Amino acid sequence: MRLALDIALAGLVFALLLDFVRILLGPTAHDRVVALDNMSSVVVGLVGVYAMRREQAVLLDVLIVIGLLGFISTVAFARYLERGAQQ
Amino acid sequence: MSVVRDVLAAILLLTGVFFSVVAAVGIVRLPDVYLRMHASSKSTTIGLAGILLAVFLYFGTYEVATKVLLVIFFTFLTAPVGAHMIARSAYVCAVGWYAQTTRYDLERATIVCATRGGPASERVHERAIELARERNGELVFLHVIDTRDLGDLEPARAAAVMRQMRTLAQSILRAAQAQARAAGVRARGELREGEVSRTLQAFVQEVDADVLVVGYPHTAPGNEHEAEGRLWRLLGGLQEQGNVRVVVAR
Repeated sequence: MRLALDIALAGLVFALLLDFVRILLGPTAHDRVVALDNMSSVVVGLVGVYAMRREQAVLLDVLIVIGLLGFISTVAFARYLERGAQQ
Repeated sequence: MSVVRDVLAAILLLTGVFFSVVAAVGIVRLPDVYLRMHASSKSTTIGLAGILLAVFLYFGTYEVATKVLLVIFFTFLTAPVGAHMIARSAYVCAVGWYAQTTRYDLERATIVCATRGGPASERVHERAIELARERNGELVFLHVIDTRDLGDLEPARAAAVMRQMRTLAQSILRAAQAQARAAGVRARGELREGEVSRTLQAFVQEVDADVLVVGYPHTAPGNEHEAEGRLWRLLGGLQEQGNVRVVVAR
């Protein structure tokens, strides 16, 4: 289990790095928002794995907060970009 | 028991991580926003569900189960909504898509290209050919001979002018078809006579066209207002008829 947790952590960090590459490359703001949205999902998974590794079930409360925050920020970005286009 | 649970949790965990990594690879590798979104929203949802179910198995208490199932439920609810919002926003902001993306709305679209002939029309043809290829559509080049000015001439003279104009129109249509053929698109040509915008509208209805491609009106400098007025009248008339999309190529 310990090994699986280590592999999972490494894999999720790799996913985060790939998302980060997309945020750097762009080319449009929408690409970056998609990458950020995916990043927040990966971070939710990361916190879940971390909670297992530290044997701390309390950390799972963070999951709910990050998940909802990620969704709200995505929607806010989408609305913001759309408003900009209409003006 | 505990071993079985651990092994199950590890399998779920690694499956979830695998899907998350695939999503991230998709985000980097796929060519446009819409495809990246497709990678991100779907595989991440299933990846997250795998990881969280592993968390649930690992701790195995009711408290954890409630939180984890809540998060899974929220993800399944919010990921599609978020992806939809970004897609909509990208479409409104005119973010382009991958050149090889094809639209195929279950049927062949009929694309009518109104042509005047001459070098200025070539760009209009190009746009129409491009659209026909994009939609896998049927392309029709239409040339309308304007008969309004012929009423003032004496009948024999008018007939002679008409004959010449028909010959000219045929060669214009052949040139347009040749241009389409060179681009690998089959097209047919149609010739009509009458007042231009009314004839266009009638033709659009006759072939049940989905897209009409017209050039920006040909005009002498300083006369743009009049030309624009003609264009708007034509567009207004077509709008009333309903289901045709008009593309004005410059």
